[in-house]
Amino acid sequence: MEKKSGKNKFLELIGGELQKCSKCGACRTICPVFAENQREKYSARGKIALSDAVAQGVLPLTDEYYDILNNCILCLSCVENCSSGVKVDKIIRAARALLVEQRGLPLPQRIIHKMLQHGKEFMDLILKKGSLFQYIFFKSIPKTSGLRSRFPMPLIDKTRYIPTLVRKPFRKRVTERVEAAVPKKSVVFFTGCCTNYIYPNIGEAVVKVLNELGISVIIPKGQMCCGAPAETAGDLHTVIELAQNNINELLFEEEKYKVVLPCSSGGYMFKHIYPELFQNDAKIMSQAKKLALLTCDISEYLVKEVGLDKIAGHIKQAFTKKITYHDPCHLNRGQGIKTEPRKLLKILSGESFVEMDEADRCCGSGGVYGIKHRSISNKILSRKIDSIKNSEAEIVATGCPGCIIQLLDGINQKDLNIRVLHTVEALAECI
Amino acid sequence: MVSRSIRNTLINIVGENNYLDSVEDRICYSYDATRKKSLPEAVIFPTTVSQVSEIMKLANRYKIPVVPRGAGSGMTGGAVPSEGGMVMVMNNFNRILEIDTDNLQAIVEPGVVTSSLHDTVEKAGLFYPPDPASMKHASIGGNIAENSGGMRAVKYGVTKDYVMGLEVVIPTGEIIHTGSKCVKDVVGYNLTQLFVGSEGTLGIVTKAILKLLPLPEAKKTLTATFSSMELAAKTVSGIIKKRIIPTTMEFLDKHSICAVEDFLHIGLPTNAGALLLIEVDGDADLIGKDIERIRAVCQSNQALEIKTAADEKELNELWKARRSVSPSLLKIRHVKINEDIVVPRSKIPDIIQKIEKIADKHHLVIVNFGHAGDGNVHVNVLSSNDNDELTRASHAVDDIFNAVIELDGRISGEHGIGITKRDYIELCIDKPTLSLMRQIKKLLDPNNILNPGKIFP
Repeated sequence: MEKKSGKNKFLELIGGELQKCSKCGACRTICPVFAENQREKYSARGKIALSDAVAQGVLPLTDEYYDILNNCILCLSCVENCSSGVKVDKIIRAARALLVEQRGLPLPQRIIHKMLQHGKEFMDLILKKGSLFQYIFFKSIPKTSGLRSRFPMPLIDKTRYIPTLVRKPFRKRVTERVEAAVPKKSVVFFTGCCTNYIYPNIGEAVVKVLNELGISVIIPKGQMCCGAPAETAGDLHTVIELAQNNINELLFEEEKYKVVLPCSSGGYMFKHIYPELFQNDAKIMSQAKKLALLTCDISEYLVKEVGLDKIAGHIKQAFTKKITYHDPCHLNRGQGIKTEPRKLLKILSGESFVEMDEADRCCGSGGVYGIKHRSISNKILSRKIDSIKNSEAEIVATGCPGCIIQLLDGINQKDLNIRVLHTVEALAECI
Repeated sequence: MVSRSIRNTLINIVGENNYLDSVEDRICYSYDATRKKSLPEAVIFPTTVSQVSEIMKLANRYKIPVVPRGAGSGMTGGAVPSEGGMVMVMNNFNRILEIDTDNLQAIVEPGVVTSSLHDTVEKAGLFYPPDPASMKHASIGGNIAENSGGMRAVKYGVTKDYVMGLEVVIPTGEIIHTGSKCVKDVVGYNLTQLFVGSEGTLGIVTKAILKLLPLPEAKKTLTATFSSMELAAKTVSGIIKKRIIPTTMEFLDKHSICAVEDFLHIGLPTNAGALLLIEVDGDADLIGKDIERIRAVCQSNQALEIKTAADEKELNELWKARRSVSPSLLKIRHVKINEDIVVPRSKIPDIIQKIEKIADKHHLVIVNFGHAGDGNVHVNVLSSNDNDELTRASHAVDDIFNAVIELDGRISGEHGIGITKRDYIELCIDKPTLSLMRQIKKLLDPNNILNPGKIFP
């Protein structure tokens, strides 16, 4: 009985989307995964046909269906290019949720999601120990701050760049309020997990830049993971709990503060996913919508709320090296933020900003995707790194810590000497 | 039936990675852009012409249907395995083998995506004109099988005008060669043209010699809006009467304008009754004059607004808008019966008027857009899944076809017959002619294994 109800709900949720697909095949041209393996099942059209077969009861929830549905980065390029307006991401998410409901999550993911969900302190502890352990298990690689594995480890490719986990997470390093010298306004800062545990320098850059511009920064200690890893895996229970917590933690004092993030997936979650999670609870839904309206990517906040002229006035030393920009999928297609980071980079690099080819093509990261589908992810990455290399830039900026991990991995593999920075880090270096 | 031993032989021919028969893979090769579906027993991806030949010999011996497939973007079910068997996907044949800049020719494999051929030859200052709306994903092999047209057909013709020679594997497995690289060639029957437009029923193209042109020096695009389709249609005939042949002359009716604007948000005039999209190309000095003469014809037909595209970005947006019309219509209604009728181009105003009357008669939304310049109108009868509405839609299609025939038109300009128009082919083709076509099919494919169930009623 329970199985049937799940499937009915699936049809109810996405039946309309499935019907919209005209089967024209245009998604075959832009899907980065399809480009690497040329099998229809990996194109959006194939995934829709299979999901339709599941919805109609023609296809059971097979292992193969599970694997196919999970072989999607959710880069949204098919959604952007679909003239029939099919929200392919909605279909993939609903199908993954159905699969989790009926088959459960694989054990490693179950443990990780539980950690994200419950044990903030526990996670901090694990990471603290982890940061010691990692020196035993991984050897440092020169040129980057990453590590390569010393011994073969399950799931992890030996050649892979592994980001260093910090001993002391960013949020433990700062007070809950960091006041500007002459404060004019305040913002709430949602750090995201990568900034907190891997790249605290991005967090420091956010605080430095905002303080310098006369903006005080509030960093609520109770904030937790945005839930993106659980959401993309279809683990809705975890996402809902995390979302409820974050909504409570980030909306306070009459909701007068903007919420800024240096994390593209986090911003995408707040703006587009959270408001859809609480269809049955009007009160939380309206709060989720408030959070969505207050949410600003850091580059968006700086350009729209502070202004380029003002920022230009604070630039002390511009970059002279060639700098290029990689569009994170969830910033560009997910939130429509394409021009803002470029405007910022142009004022801090002057003439030395260059566009790479296919700047908005996915880098193949997609959070867990890159780990689970190493070979395809690596091929997509290789094309991205070639674009960066051909642009002759010495610095590549981007707006997503997940992309930063991936780009560093690719640069490492090709043994190139190119710096990878978050846009706000680049700005902090010049201010 | 693909038995166990045949399966093993097929795997021996193409390799394990190129033979798929899981239910998931079979579902993914069961459909095309008609949204009709039928499950194949297996999907096979040959890489060489000899593999194609071996597969065909085997299929012919054991009478297993073979359905060739490119990108599966066809509009009449040509790639749908309606009688089961094997789908033969030509994606591995994806190389441009030669761009001959001395003879203005390209030798390509069928899996090459049409727009990637455009990009490649244009870098060499050359031009391959056929440009079906699906060119960004459709492949040359499919274009040849369907004799695809496109927007530039007004001035440059269609796929058949650019195919000089072919390498084809016929259903019995023999590899044959038609045509040559010579501009003039009258040696033997013109078999090339027999295979172009044969909808994958006579042979599998494995290589093609294509004619190229010098890339025109410049192009200019003009858009004009009108209060009604009738005025737009009169403008089109007016332009032709003035002896101007634009590169393209496309129109969108009010429904198409709204559907595509809803997707792209590029500021199309959603309150207009019709939009004409006209492009001229050629010598930079001359095209300015052509545009002015076209502008004058638009004005004399009470155009509401006439604009020329300001820059490359605006230009690309306009053409993307045009290419997106067909799939975007599904936002209006869930069912779309897509016909691509064609009439002599002077009859465009008449057919538009007749279709509008048919829509009123059956209380249906019928959306028209397409290639006004060559008389090829994409007529989309929209419907819900409601049975009564579906029946009315099917009657409307009958009425439209009859109207087309009355105006000396044909029921398909570029999509082909496939399975969706099979039952109507006799409206256009008389009995002795159809019978000859059947005999040709029988001669080449005695066991009726290659794309069976297509074209013939």
